[in-house]
Amino acid sequence: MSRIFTQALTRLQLVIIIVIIVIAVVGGAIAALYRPTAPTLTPSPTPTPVITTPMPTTPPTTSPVVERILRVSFANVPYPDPAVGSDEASSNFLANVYDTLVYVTPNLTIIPWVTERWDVSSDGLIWTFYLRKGVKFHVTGREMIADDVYFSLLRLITIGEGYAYLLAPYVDMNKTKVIDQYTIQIVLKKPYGAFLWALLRLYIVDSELVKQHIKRPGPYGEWGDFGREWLMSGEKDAGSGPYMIKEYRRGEAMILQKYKDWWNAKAFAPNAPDTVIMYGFTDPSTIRTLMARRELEITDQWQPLENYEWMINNIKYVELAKLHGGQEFYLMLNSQKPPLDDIHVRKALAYAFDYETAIKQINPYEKRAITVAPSALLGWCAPPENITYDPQKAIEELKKSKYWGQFDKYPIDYWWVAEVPWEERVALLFKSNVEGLGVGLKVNVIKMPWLSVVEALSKVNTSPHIVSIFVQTDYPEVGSMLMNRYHSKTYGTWMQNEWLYNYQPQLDRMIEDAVATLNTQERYAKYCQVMNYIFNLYPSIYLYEHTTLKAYQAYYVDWPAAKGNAPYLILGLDLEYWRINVYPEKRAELLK
Amino acid sequence: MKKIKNVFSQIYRSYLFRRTIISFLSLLGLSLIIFALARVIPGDPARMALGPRAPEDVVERYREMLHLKDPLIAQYYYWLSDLFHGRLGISLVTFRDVSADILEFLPATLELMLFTAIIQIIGTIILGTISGCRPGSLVDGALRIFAYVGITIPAFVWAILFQLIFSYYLGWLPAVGRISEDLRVPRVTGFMLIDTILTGNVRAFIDALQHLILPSLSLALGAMAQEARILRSSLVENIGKDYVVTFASHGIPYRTVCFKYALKPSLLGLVPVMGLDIASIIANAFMVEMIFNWPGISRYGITAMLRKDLNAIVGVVLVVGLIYVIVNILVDILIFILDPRIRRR
Repeated sequence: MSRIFTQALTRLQLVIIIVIIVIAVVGGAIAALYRPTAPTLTPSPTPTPVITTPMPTTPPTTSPVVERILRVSFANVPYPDPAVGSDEASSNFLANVYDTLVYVTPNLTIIPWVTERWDVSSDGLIWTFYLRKGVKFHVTGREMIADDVYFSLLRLITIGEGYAYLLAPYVDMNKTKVIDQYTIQIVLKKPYGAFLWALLRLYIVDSELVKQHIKRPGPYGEWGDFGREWLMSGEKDAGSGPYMIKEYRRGEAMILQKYKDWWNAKAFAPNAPDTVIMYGFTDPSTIRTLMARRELEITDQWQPLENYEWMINNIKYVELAKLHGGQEFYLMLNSQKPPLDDIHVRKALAYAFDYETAIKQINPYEKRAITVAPSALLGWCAPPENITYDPQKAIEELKKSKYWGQFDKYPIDYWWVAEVPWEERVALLFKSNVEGLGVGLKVNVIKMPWLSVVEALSKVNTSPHIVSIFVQTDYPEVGSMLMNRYHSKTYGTWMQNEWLYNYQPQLDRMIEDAVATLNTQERYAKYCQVMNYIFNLYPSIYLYEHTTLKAYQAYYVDWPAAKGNAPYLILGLDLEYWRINVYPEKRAELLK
Repeated sequence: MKKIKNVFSQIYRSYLFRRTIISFLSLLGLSLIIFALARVIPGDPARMALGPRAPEDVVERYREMLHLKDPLIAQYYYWLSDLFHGRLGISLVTFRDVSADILEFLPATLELMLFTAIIQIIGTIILGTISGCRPGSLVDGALRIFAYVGITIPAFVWAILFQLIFSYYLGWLPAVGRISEDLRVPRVTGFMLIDTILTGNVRAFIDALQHLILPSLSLALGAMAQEARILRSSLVENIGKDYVVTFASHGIPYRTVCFKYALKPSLLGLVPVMGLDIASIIANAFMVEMIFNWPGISRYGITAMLRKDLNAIVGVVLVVGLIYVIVNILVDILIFILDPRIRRR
């Protein structure tokens, strides 16, 4: 029998058949035996904390036997070092893993956090913070003391990356000192009205733990590498916040777990996630698949509009969170390039643009911007004039310009960022509007890669006439946007293309004075003055106040930010994991 | 003395030695070209890494650390001397040595590449042989259509399709990552399958295998289809040759003639193509790695290019070059084994 069999088939055929059978059997077995079951129901490692605050809108479940997992996607996996990261994922990670001296409520009020209270000298230069007792670090379990705050501040300023730019120009480390175990005095070089906001980015590290991992020699002199390599490895964190690192899968995900000994544990939402997974991918088809499989709870903000719409229309109980925040989309006009060096031309372009169409036809979720900073920011005031699409007014302004009658000699280059395809539609609309005036103005719409935009904006003579870019605030006050957009410090960066040399140094002085003012109301009044001053120079066309979109599983995730109950104007604070409720039982229902 | 001279002469003449020298020079040339090209991309890498608001002194520190202010040739010298100390320079995206990044991300892509290669080789031989031994048959026609479809559809489209079918609609296989979230496998080699075996975690092994199926299949299909076509043509050509006709006239069954005597010479032309296709996975896998959130070197390389991470760009290109060199040497050895004419030469 075997002879007949071997005669019928050659050795090669036999091998092929065996391989096919093995693949089929193994593949079938794998697919059949390990076909992913609906929910991952595993015993919870820790009991769900006692319900205190905040109260969820959905009644808490009675069975605490399943692990509560929250999975969120970002553009990248966070940088785990609090002196390095400042992108969205890192800001979110840091805000959940590290504590800060002060914190912010959903209605944007600064409150004491690991500090019980603070004093400030009458000149606004000396700030004394009195630390709370009993704040414990994740890894060592050691109590946080003033030395840790001093070390964290020194480390951030010395390394100079991440959010250091918010504190480094103001803090005088030579005079800053530890008064006693629980008191630290931070001395400023000059008054800084937004100092408390800046402290939201001073993440306090376990100084002893970090010192143990310092590598010498390193780029920071006696401090070697300041423990940077160790912190960046993500092996452990040095924080004391509500979540701690469970596992860092570099390039793939950051996995966090709830820290049950958090000093403010009573503030955990009753169904706060036990595990949080921060993914670093945004591929639309992957996001869609994971949302449909209920393997992703909250998406990133980088999905194409069609993907969000598909998800909310086709996946049951997926809803769209619209976080109207601190980003504004500008058409930045180069005030040094003819014909835009003439204020009448800049003003005319502002009247020539059809804002309504740009919103309705291109970005329906965006809100119309009407002045130099988004209206959600503190200290904002309405502009002196509400600019609307008015071609007649535009022509009247152009007639006042020194270039009237010779616009054909000065074509306008409009750059849009190649990586953001919808910007082309804005550019083409602008071109159509401006050329439609019929006065000889020509607009060249140019697609430009981001790297080239950044390079070109580093010098005034290589900057285009117009470039369209989103800019984000650092803290929720108008002052932040004024500094980023119109202060001479950001000349040569992608944050401005206006090059308002002609209005300096007055403009710088006005901005600096406003930001330095300690009295809040007085500061806001000054912001208003500066805003109106800039507005009247017509340096930019204000188009969109950005609404960040994120799809989420509304049926089993109770996410305060989606209901407007979170300080999401501050980058990363839309996802305070400790305030989010997750209901795995409801997820299991959906998967049945 | 003459003996020693002879030995050296033999070594010099030996294939492997010459190949190694040529490969080394090729890699050196490649590094020089890519080093220069990376620096032509617009934008200040230090400023881009640290953001527009980083203080100028910190940005300056980075420029100095990366020797960006030195002439290009001096920069290359520093880079080379670092290379000989096992360092590839600091990455401006991950802020650590590029060699550490490569060691971290390379195993994931190599694992994917090897698994893809297995699927590709088996699939090519099966499809090509069946099709080539029965030219003009219904099976041949069907396989030809499959081959055309396979060639024309790029890997990332297959990836999306497979993800939709097997993850979204059927729910059979995982959609992303190398291993499920609830499993933790201590890193030993970086190859997930090997690490799961070393740690004796059977569940994790099967889980990792499941995670490999869709990305590998997506990467394998295009090349498999193309290679199956090459094998088919080669088989058809060989079957018509005199020696095969002679075998057949001696009454040897057609199947035996086809599988035993025509297949082996037909594989000769295929091996180099297959080798290059397999090597190209490492550079071309980036879209598939993005779709499946696969933490591999291909995705790392693309991120490096988008962010102008100079050292990472050069490091990744060098690794890709090295893989090509190794695969080419392996292909040559394989041909040496398969082809007696070359052995005799």
